[in-house]
Amino acid sequence: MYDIIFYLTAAIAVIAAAALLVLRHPVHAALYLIVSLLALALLFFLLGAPLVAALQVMLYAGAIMVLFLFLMMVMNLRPERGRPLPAGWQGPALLALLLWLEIFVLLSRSPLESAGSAMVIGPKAVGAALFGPYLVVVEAAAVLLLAALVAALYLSRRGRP
Amino acid sequence: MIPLTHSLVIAALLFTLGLAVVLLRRELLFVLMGLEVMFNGVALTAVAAGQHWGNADGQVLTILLMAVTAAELVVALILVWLAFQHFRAVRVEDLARLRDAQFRDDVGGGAS
Repeated sequence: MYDIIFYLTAAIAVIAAAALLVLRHPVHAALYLIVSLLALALLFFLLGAPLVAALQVMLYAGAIMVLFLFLMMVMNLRPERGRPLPAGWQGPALLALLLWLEIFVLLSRSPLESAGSAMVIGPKAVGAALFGPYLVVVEAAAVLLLAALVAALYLSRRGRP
Repeated sequence: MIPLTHSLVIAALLFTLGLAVVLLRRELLFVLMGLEVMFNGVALTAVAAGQHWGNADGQVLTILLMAVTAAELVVALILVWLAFQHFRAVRVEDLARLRDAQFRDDVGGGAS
């Protein structure tokens, strides 16, 4: 049962991501992207990472998609006319498919097959690791977010020359 | 129990799909969405590997990746909006102002 739910959710995530390739309307694509992100959150939960699953729903499906939808509203986009894919799309698509096939073949022969039981690593352990040995990285992320805030304020200021 | 290989294959599939979206779709918003899908493939790799070895480091990496993605996306979305405001540019081909004039004449008119 666990396996069925896992593979079904993985299929939903992949199909919703693949729909981005063929959709024309940006809002429809954003909806499919939300579906993909939510399916990925369920995958994280099934893998035993409840904190990351909750953060995925809040950050990606909540905050980031709101940014996307706001931008679409401001830009008032209309769907593209004609074919969504440009001419000569076969080459990059073939290369991407080959890349995935290479990884698939590599992984299907790897000795990582030993399957244990599903192990849940809760928020307590993640927090202990985050604010223990990785404290410097958290500080760096804080500086990065401050820099992004300054850049956003600078780029969106009024009365530019 | 799901073997690690299957999770990695799914993550690789997500990554290559995002790469295909970045390479094939010419709208700026779709390029950013493809980047999101690529980031999610990387996050799935980190979480699956961390769970496989019983280590919280994968989740730490994923949380930091979310912070970096949010910072990147805020600046990128403002740049897309400014490109639309100043040049009425929605597609990548519209942003060809740095292209050589000689080359633009050769290919016939630049952005179409």
